[in-house]
Amino acid sequence: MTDFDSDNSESSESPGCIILGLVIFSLLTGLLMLLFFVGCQAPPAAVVPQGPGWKSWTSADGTYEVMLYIPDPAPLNQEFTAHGTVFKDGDPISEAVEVVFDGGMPQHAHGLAVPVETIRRPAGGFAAAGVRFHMGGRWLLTVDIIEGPHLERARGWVEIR
Amino acid sequence: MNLLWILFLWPGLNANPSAPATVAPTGELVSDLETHLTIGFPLVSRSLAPALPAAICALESGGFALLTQRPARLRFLSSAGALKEESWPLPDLFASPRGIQQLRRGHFIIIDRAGHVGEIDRQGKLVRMLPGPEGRWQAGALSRAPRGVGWLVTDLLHGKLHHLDPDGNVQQSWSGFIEPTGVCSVGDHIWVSDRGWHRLIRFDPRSQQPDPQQGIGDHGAAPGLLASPMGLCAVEDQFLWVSDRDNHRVQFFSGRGFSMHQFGIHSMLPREALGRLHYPTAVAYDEQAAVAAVIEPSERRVQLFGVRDPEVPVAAAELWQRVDLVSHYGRFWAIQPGGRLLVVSEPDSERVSLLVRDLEIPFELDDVGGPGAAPARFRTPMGVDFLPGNDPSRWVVADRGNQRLQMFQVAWKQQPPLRREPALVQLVRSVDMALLVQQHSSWQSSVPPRLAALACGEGGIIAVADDANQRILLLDRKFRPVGQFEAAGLLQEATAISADGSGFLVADAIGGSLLRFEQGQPQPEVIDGDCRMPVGVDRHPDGSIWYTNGANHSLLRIPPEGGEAETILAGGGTGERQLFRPRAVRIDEDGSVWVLDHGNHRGVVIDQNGALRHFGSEPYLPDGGVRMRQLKLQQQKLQEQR
Repeated sequence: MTDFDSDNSESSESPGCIILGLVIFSLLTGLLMLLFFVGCQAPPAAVVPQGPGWKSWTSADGTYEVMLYIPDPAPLNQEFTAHGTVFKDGDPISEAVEVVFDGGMPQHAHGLAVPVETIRRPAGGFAAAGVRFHMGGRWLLTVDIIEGPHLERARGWVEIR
Repeated sequence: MNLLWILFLWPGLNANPSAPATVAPTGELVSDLETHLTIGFPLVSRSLAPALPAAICALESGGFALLTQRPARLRFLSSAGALKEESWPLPDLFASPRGIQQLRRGHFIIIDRAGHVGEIDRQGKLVRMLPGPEGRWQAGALSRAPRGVGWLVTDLLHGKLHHLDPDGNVQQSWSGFIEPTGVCSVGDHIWVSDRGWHRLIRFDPRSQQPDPQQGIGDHGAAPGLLASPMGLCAVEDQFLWVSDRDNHRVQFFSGRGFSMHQFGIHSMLPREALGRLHYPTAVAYDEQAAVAAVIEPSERRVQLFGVRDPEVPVAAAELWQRVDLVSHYGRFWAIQPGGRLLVVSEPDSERVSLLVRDLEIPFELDDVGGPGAAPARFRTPMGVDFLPGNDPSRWVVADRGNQRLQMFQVAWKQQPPLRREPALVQLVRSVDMALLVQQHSSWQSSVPPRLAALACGEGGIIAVADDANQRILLLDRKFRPVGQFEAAGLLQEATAISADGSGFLVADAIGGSLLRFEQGQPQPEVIDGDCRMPVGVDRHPDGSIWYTNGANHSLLRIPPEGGEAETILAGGGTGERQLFRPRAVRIDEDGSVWVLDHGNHRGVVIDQNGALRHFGSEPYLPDGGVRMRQLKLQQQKLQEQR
């Protein structure tokens, strides 16, 4: 049996070898076809997060899509990190683009009690740590997207109870 | 007793110009801090109309030297309020003087807005020109350098301060200012007032760089806060007076930056003096006589203030109170074509107001702004206009101090009841024009842009004046560059712009002309209208051109076929058919003409049938209303008491 196995292994003319070649060939063909179809399609859509706490805004001139996460319900008087992703034409914005998150209560003419700094994260991401809604009521949140000399704003309201 | 005290301290109190005081105040009595802190008693008001006071300095021998503009002349005023009859014309290069300082030999150093520095004698004759900073610059203010060695001049185009030696050569320069409108030296320190920062920036030139972040004050009306600080004046090399222009007062600061005293409050009645101030731009102080002279170009006058009787309490109205720096109606506004909205640029409060305009008294829905550089804030909002064909309505504002354009929108549902809604106005986008100019090769210039008038034309083309480079920049709705208008020798300053079909109408107050620019045409069309100083312009649906003339407070109409302009409103006053320093004109699709009567803090509307309507600050309305009659009575009583 051992010899047989050994022989089989050394013989290219054996039926097992042909089957193995066919399997490999069909796998490769399938892989090529898959790559072909994938290549013909648009780039994969960026992962759009969904679920509680996620908000989807379009900037005022329609250039950017902003996905923003704040806890749901947003906590009163507790610090948290607001974060999200900005897309332009379906793709995450480049690393060179600046993003600035801010918030305030226009009816009370004040902003965040402690200003926050927004940092960029890979793949169009941004995060602003230390956000705290120190008062219940309507808060206006803004996300400014700054590309070179141009700035465009997205904004939305949240109710803090 | 009180009267005796006043007369003792300041014998010139009751003087009239024809009979100046004969007894000079004694130095011992008046040259101490306590005296400076009692300055504020209104002594006399002198009109210089039609000329505008432009600069003032105290004379070593007492009294003041004054420079006026339109016409450019040198005049002298005694500390008793006597304005000398003789006045001397300034050399031709000094048509728009901005500063004057006395030399020991009795001559004067003067500067002009166009960047000329010269020495004149007491008859205004040019003795010599001094070189000053190289290249194009715009003089803002002039002062002695620390220890009296040379001169300090500010450059509004580049936001710079220069130290000149006694012969006018630049020794040192400092940058980082936005709009350095005043300068003086106190001890070893230099003080700069910056209208953009609303701060006083103090630094030691031997060891420090000016740092606006460490400046003194901020935008506001409380003591120590400032709204458009302008001219400065050192006192005893330890203190300084500050013209706090948009707070309509003068503040006194210690050398450490504490606000110690103030006088002046906004006029309650049109053209009112008697201690009321209206946009004071410079102050000079005769230390020996303890008399402060304050110039108010908006009122074409100079007022003198002396010491108050310390035993008489200051009138409650003149003590500090919260002052809302709003509803002054700046120089620019825009109407929504065929719509209900009106937006008004309010540089005093660094805001833009949004109003519903088709009411007897327009209703303010919201405002946007506040001082600062953050998005949606302003540093001197200037030109404003609605973008055509947008829903929701959008408008663009030229934010001069921040060198940017900002676009806003309002999704307002036209449903009753009307109510004010904070944050109704939404920022859409902004563009940093200084950076955009650098990036766009055909726009590049050595001088950063200085934005002013603005209009939005067909296809959403935005035309904004760049006063620093004597051109108009054109952008699309996304604030991308699409072109520019230049006309060497023709366009000096686009004071006002309005959309006109496929082109733009431009009022050039400096050049004294009305121009029409069209994209693709190398030269503008010059509109014949015998314009002296057009400061607002728009095209009527009937083809006529309407413009405001700043030289004689008038509104004129050039017929569609051209020819001589017809005067519609004229005369400097608050009457029904009068204007006072009018600015923007906007004409609606229905032919109604909206005139911004800036100097009267009001709007004037002429409807299709020629009927007039006024709205705005009540005392400045033609009939005045009940409140104005009450104020007049109060004023009469005050005068009797004094």
